[in-house]
Amino acid sequence: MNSGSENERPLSNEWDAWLSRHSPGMLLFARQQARCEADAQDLVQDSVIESWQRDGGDGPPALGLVYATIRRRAVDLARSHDRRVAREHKTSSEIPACWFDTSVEDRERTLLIEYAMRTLPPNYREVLTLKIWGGLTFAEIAEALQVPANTAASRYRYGLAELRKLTKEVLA
Amino acid sequence: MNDHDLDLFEKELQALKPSRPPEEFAGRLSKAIAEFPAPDPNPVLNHPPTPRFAFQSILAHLQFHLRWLAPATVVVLASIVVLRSDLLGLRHAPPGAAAVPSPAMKADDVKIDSTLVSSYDAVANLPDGEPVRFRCEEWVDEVRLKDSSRGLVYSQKVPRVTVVPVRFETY
Repeated sequence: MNSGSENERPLSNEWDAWLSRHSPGMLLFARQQARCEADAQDLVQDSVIESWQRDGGDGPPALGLVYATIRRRAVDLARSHDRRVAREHKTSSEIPACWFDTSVEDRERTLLIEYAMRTLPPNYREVLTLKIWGGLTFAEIAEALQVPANTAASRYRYGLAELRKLTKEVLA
Repeated sequence: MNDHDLDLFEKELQALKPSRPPEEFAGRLSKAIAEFPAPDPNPVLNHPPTPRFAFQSILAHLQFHLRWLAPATVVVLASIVVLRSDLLGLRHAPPGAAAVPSPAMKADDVKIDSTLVSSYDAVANLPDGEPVRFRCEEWVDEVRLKDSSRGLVYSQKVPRVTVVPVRFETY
């Protein structure tokens, strides 16, 4: 990453609004893919920059491209992390940050859903996250995850049902 | 659990908000974007130079629909060679020599395998300025013929490139 450059310029309103609207969802997705908070933040930052450069436009990049880049970088990061851990003979004990805003009134329910999300199979979890909190269409999810759109849609329904089942006893 | 129940649950999930990024991170991200040079609107691709769009589109279309052609051609040619060798062997064989094994390979196991070697995206701009993304994939198609009776294996690898224009569509 660059740091402290005289080329720094003010961000446009479009960028500000885009970051404000989408960075929570992107960070949520990155937290699910990464093993620690610092990695998740780096994933988002690097993926936004890379997608922007690849998109070649003045404004923010396509959202689907950013999520696809986060996922690809997370896989690469996990591989290098595994090699590093194997070398150093130590296990990761990072405590991940809260996924959802727990300042809302029903904090217990939020934490319960977060716990259920963490136990959900990853292929369900990522589709749910991209659809509900990332705001992607199934076509964009299919693009980001490299699966057919029908698969993305069915994973979404199965994931929703599974999550509902996990939380039903307490939320009912 | 019915659809209505799931719909309600879906709405409940939509009401949840992802936690806000830490202030320090939000600032760092904005700073990184502000510091980074804006991308060239007419980027020079790092990937191999691509032909003009119309030609590229036709090429991509053909490549997609004829991707089976290379391995199929190899199989057909191999079959012709095997059959022709058999026929020639029988035609020129002296009387009583039919029991002598033909020198031609008799494939009893044919495998066609495709391996993805690399995959990358390239971005180009249409004449009207609309960006188009291309999914480029480099494949290696391998045809393997096996003659178990004589322990012969014939293998041929053929490289193949697919270029598919990708757009984000609404579902």
